[in-house]
Amino acid sequence: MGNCVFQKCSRGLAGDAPASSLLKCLLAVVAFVPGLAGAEYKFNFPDPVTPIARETLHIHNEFMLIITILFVVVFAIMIYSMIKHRKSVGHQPAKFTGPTGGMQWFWALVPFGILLFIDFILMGIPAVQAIITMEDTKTRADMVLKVTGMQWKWQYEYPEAGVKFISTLSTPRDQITNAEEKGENYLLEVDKPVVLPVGKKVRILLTSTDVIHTWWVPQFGVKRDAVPGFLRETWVQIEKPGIYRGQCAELCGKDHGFMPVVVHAVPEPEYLAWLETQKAEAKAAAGGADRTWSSEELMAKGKEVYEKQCAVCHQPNGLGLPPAFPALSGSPIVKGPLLDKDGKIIKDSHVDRVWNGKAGSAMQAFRNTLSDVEVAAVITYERNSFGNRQGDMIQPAQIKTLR
Amino acid sequence: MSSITTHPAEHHDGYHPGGFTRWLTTTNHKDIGTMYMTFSLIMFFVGGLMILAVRAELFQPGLQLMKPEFFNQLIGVHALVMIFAALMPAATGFANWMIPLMIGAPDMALPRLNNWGFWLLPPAAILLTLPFTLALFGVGDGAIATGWTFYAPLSVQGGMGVDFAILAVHILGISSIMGSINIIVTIFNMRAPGMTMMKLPLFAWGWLITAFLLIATLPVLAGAVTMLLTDRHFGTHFFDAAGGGDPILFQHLFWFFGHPEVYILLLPVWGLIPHVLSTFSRKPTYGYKAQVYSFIAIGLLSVIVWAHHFFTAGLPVPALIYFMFSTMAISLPLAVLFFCWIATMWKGAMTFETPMLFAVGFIVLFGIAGLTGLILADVAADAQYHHSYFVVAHFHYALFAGGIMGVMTGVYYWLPKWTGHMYSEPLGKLHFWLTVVSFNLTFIPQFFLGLAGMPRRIPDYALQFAEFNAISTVGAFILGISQLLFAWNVWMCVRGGPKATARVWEGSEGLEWELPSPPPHHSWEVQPQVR
Amino acid sequence: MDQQPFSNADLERRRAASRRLAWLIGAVAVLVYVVGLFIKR
Repeated sequence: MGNCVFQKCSRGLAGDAPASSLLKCLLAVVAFVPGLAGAEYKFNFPDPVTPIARETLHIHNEFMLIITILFVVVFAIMIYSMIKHRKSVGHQPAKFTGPTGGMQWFWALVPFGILLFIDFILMGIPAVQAIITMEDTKTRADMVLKVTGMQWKWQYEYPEAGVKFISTLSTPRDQITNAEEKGENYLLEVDKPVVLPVGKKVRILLTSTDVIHTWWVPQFGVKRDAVPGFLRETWVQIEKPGIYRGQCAELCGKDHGFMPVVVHAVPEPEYLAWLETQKAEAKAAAGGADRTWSSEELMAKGKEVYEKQCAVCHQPNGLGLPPAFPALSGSPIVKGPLLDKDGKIIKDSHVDRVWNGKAGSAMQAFRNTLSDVEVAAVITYERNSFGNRQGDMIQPAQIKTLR
Repeated sequence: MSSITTHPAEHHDGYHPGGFTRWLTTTNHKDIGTMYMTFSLIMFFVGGLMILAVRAELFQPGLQLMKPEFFNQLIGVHALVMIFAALMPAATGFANWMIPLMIGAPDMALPRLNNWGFWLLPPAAILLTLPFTLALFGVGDGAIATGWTFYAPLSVQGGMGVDFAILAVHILGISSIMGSINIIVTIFNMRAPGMTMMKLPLFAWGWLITAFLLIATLPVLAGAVTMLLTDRHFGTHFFDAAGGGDPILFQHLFWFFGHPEVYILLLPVWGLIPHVLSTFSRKPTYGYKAQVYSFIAIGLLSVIVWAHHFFTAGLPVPALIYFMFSTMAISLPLAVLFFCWIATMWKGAMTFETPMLFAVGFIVLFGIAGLTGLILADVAADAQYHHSYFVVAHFHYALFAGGIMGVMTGVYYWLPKWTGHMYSEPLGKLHFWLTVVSFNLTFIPQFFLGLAGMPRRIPDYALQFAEFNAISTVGAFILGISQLLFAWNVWMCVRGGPKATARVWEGSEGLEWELPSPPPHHSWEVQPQVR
Repeated sequence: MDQQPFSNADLERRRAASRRLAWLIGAVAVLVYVVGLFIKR
């Protein structure tokens, strides 16, 4: 295979300018190197699976070629000068300080003109086209996905179907602390991935509950900020089924590197079937608020919720990381009252904290993130764990009345 | 360094304190320049140590050395230290030392302001780094952990480290504004007769534009961090949607300063490179006027391109298109500068002492910075590059290969003038080669990491990023250790070495080379003849 | 390099001009700061 590449180059030399033939040779060699190396060496964007990603890759490759040529040409000239115009080979220094004569003005102005052309015409015009396409989220959109960034997880919502869930990193702690060998999708795996249909234009709405996050899936060519209090938009149309992984791309606190994005793109029938099971699950969970839960049930459920949602800051042992993340063990708030005599929230109480968060801190409002059952369970759990022995509990039905 | 006075006692009754008092109270531009350079070198190593700790953590996947919270502190403080406590003071040190010498002035126009401007720096540096120490004693949870960009609402949430950083930034800003005022009035009012503006050395021109940019943009940064402070503690809602504000407002205000800031860091270097190229090519500077106009053009353009730092934040389409084109426009005056640098070398009689090596290395590596900057301007492609390691690599080519190596060019070039001794040339060359090779080893893999999809500011990463991270860390450690050679060379040169002549270099031109090396404590007692 | 030193009067005039200009630039800086505090989107 190596022979063919070089043959091509030498035939090319007859027709092409030497510089770009050499460049093609170099590019071919460079493309081989990863294969030869055998290790995970990647030199370009991952495979695009949306029209936007393909357009972006194309623009990138074109631009990289242009700047590589510019670099090589300009510095070939400079290196030539460094070799020929040296004192040690006896070259006498000239005295010119500017262009003298028409030919020199030509050499000075032509590169300027070429750059102007490259910037504003060659790359500028296709870029404008691409931008308009990328920002056109509404034309012929088939469905909507709402993405909410949170510290430190993503919440996904399918508003038309009434389906909502949270997607958290599922890589075990032990792998991160090097106590266990790392899995293949280390740091890029979640408990509940997003599922989207192939071939449909998905309008993606983004927001955040706390700080700015950024949703990024390289193979989609899509990166958009999730800004608290505002709605941003982008879109994807995934061409191939598969599992696509990305990460948060805006520093959002301590676990910024630990909130990945995982999207399963499947054929439409499979997507619709999945959506149905999600709707059923949501209904079952909501229904849970209509019955009385025993304390054992609440504690079990609460432990599950706590470990997934709360332990990351307040720690599995409830001791927190003060001052940023207070301890729950022995906390006056946790040991305080639940609700007032009318079943309403008491300001700065345990329920208030979990329901409304704490303004100006990293404690987010969980009322839209957790279901009635989950809120009641986790509050109950916290009051009866970590050495706390309140002996009380709160029912999902009571939480439901707060909505 | 003894201060030789050769003038009659009438100027100031021979009051020359020694020791610490001398340095605390000096109003002499050379002494103050020396203090700026010393401070800069120390902080360069402080910032360097921080990032070596970061790169050590990033050597392998998994968390080995530190918690993510601490990692976030290190990366942000590294940047603040390098930008505000290493690069800017070095550039100011050059300005203080060289501008009066170059324009035939006895000193800066406002010598006492000069002293204050410097002495604000050490307290500011302490403020930046104090939270680390406090946290060790259980007070607060460490230094600022939002990155050097302070984005709200994360910075509204942060602990007392943010407040320390805000105060430090205010003080650093005031110091720079004082220095800029001094430089502007000195250049306007203190030039020796015959030195017209269009005879002003390019280094002075570079700093003149820099100073105007600082005056125009630092107050905006100060305003932004003040608004952040009041959002944090005094109930305002500038950056909080629930209160009618907008987090993106912070990004607009920050980057209105932030983009000109990168040219503030680079213009002094662009001003000094032509001096070095001309000297070692033994040829007059090519395109003096073109370079002056390019400095001015870049200065003006730099204040209207800021939003390219946050293309993914959800700007309206017309804004995206405008900022893309205005950003690309900067490549034009920059291309003029590259052209003039190479044209200065062309048909010269070059030798390659250490300053020239660094100057040539600067041109090549800064060229990579500029070219990758051009593709970053493309909004469509930027969706992939933004906040990835591609950007990290780009700005290190700009600020290390451009800024730091530019500073090293100036130091090697002017050190013999300042000290009266020649530095060790073999050690200088070794420093150069180690720096260039290890720098590329550190940052080229980072371009590819970005393309492969690795985000910035993460302490741990997926397995496909492992190889390039390992290579980058090895490069970083070699790079860091190589800088010890530089510090050693400078130290030995200050203490002694072969005597330097007034001219120092065979091809040097300019008023500063007519004074002895080192110049007397009071230079230009006698007005120079400007030819 | 053979002329008389900068005359004291000359230096004093230059320094006074510098002080005036310095205050003006400082005022501009403060103005920019204050205006920046009022910028809203």
